[in-house]
Amino acid sequence: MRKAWDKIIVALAAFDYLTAEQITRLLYSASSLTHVREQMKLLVDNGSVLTLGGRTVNLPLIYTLSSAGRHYASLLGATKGKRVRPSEEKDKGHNPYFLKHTIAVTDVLIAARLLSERVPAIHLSRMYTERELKRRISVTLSGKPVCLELDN
Amino acid sequence: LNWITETWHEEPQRWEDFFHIEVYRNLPPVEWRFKQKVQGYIATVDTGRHEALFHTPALSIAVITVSESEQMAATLKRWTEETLQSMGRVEEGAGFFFRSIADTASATPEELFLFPVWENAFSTAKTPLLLLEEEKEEARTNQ
Repeated sequence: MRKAWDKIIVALAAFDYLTAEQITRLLYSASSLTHVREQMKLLVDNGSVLTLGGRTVNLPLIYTLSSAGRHYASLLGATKGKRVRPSEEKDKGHNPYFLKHTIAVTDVLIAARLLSERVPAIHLSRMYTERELKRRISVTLSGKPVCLELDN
Repeated sequence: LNWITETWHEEPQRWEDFFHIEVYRNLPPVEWRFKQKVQGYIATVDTGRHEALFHTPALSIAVITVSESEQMAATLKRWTEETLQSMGRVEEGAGFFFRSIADTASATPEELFLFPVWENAFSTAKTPLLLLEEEKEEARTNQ
């Protein structure tokens, strides 16, 4: 694995789903988009990264870590331990509503991360993604258990 | 979760904010489901579930609607107010923030979090999502 890919793998472990444009905004200068796309193609080709979205659903490619990518992220100390089912990922890839929503939520999380880097008074100490929070928070309302589906 | 530190006091002040970010695109959610979520947020705090999971008592909810129009944000704000009112928990309105935005990708972090473009439930005053200490002092002075 190339050393230069580590920061991309770590970012994918933190954010779960990122487009090339989002990776560029998060880690590179705006002029590096073509370079980022090239790196992402290599990471897909070597099996570390899976793609969702794309032209068939009229969206940009959205990248997420494969099992191998998550294993490598864990070696970098960057995994969050949540199991991912490949079949669920495949289903999400065909759901434009989920993908567009995920892109928008991730934009907000990226902004939070960048704000904490730009404003010394603000420190982003923890971040949870939708995948991490899924089915984790249940409460009883009017005597019935209700699972809160949270964005972040 | 954000820690905010300022150093203009002799003793630097430090406090934490914890936000759940809710993003809605194009169409509002089903009314009863959204209202149930608002009730759920209050219940997670009341039952200690929130603090047990996230190790902080701080909790605010930031609701963002991705739309050219402000209408959906206004609808979600009204549903939140109706829910809190029916629960007798109007004071919790200060923990719910609403705004609409046309495009999340092109907004700068400052525009998203520091510009006074958010509204709390039961208020029409514009406020930033993250208030730095100087701004808190100013807000107190202006009251």
